[in-house]
Amino acid sequence: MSAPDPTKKKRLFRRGLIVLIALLILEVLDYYTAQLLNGSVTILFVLALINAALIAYYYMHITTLFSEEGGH
Amino acid sequence: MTAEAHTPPAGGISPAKRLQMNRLGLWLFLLSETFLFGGILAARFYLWGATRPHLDQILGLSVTAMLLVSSFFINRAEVAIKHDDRIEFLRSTGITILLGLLFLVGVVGLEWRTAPVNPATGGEFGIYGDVLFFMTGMHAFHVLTGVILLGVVAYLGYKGHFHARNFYGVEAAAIYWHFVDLVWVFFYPALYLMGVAVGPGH
Repeated sequence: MSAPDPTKKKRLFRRGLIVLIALLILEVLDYYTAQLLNGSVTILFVLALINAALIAYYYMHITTLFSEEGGH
Repeated sequence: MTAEAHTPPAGGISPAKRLQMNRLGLWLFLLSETFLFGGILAARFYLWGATRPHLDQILGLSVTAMLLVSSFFINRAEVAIKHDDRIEFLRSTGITILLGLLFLVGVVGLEWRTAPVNPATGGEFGIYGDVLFFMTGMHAFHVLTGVILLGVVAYLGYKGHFHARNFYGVEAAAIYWHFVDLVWVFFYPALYLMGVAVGPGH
């Protein structure tokens, strides 16, 4: 683990915020899609999958699953 | 990666390998949880089909937003501790816990009391009540355990247990919290949006 880098920290904070904004937009889209398309299960499920992919990739770091990097 | 992380202790596995195994173990646990919640979601579609009870849409949107924002803050806490910023770590973890508690108040304290599937509000349990209380109850239980876990992590962080070279405890708690959020991303539309609203209150 290298020394803490303030620039990297800011970049990661900003990325987290961008992901949050995307998730909130998708949530509102969920709501209006349901009103307009009478609760279409398929479209709402696809939107939920996009939401889940964003969370798993950016917040849960699924790509580091087999990594040995980090704290112990 | 620290130099000692690559040095296997005599007769044991290296800390780096142990970390990798811890991560794999956590994800296997989450996989088992996925089967549990997947089964509950399947039960919703089997029992409700293309219908749903008439639930408070504003409340549904609000609690979902709370959980999404809490995920942002626990991510912020994780980044902060990885960069030795303990103040930000404690602040963000505290906000996450608060949002988790507000979510519980919204679902258990408000939705359960006002849902038209509750006999106390003139409705009747039936399959709508059964599924609603089981889905939200099981999820709320996981939110509660997540809040307790985050409380322990915040306490240990306050005591100086976590820092830039030792943060797996925070990472694991954050991943668990994100998983709880991820489950709700599917539960929210399944409960509040999918299908046609039927029954009392419509």
